[in-house]
Amino acid sequence: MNNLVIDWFPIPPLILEIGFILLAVALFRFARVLGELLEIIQKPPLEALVVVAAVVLILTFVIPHYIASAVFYPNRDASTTMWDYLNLFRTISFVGMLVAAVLVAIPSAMYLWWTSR
Amino acid sequence: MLIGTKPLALARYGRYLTLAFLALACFSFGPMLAHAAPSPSVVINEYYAPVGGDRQAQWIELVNRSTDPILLNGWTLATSNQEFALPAITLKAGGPASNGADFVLITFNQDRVRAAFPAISGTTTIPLNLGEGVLNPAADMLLLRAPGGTIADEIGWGPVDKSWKNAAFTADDRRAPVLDRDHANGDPLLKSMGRLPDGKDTDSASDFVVRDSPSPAGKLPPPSLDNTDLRKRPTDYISVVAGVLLWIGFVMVALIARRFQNLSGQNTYWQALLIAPVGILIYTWIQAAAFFNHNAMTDQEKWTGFPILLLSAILCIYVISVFRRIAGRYLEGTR
Repeated sequence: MNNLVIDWFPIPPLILEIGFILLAVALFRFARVLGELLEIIQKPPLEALVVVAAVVLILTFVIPHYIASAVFYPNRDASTTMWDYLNLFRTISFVGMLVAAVLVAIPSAMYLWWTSR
Repeated sequence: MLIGTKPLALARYGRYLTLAFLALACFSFGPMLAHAAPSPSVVINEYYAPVGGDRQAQWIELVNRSTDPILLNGWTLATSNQEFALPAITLKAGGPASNGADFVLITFNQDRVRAAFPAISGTTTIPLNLGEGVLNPAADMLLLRAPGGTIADEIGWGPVDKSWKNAAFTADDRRAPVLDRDHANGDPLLKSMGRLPDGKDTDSASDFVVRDSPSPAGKLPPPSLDNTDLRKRPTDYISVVAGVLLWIGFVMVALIARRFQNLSGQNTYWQALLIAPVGILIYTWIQAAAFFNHNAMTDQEKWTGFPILLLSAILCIYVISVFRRIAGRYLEGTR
């Protein structure tokens, strides 16, 4: 495969990437609050999981989705290999989002459970 | 006097200057005009003629780049030594950038091409019924002429033979690489040459690239099974579960803020925290509907779902920052 077409600013997918980066920033901020709340009730620092979730969201959703939109999607007519990569990166993206969501939910649920008793 | 002589000199010599300029322009641009037509609406988009490949399966694909329907009546397609009149069929409007791009496939042996590329079923074809392709995979050319003989498009490959009937119409900068055999094992490459993206036209051979998977009439063969049936559907479900779980994660932030409000008596605006992530749910719903109804999101669905998610993310940052500030201030005071 030669002469790959690269769309550096794939619109509208870029809007989605920016949206998820901002969600990751929101998670970083939430982790700070949760850390302080957990400290008060003297529980383990589970807010680290929220920080990991934000990093996972960027590394496994935003970046693969951007690569798929910028590289594989514009070249999808050139080769079935591009479709294979598109499907692979699509799977990586959503599995990454699932892992991130679980990592956010666990410490939040634990805090609510601890404070309900 | 001096002021008056300038216009006089210009008037005297102006006509000679104009004639000289026109002569220079004709001399400079004449050869270029012989090769390039003004912004062709129909172009040769892809061709299949690999060295050592099945000559009966050769084909040439044309595409209508314009936003107007084009009647091919009077158009001709020539190779190095032959010329074929195209039938009076109409290529519907639709640029190659849109999904409505209209391709037409010229075949030499219709049945053989259909057998080799079953995906083309139902597409517009021009069967020349010659039994076997006339393209020389090692060196040849394609010349598309509009009514009146104007050259609309041209592409060639391999060394030019001066004895070709149409040799005068091929230009050096329009010679693409030959689809030669695999040097490692000598097998035919079974690839095509095509514009990437479809319809790209800068009047250069560099518009054409080797296509690993020929896509006659814009139809790619179906991707391998392991990447569609076995991975596609589970990913669709994962995308829905992941989206809903992420939304639940942000809803929990609102519940934590509500509990903090109940315990501390501080207003945390937890209702805003509950509403802000709704965009994640809307995006997930639009995406799921698209995946399960037509396998992928359309541009319209993307333009609806993605900005809603972006707006939701901005709101989430804002309301979480507010909660963080309120909680931080209260906790500082209690220490």
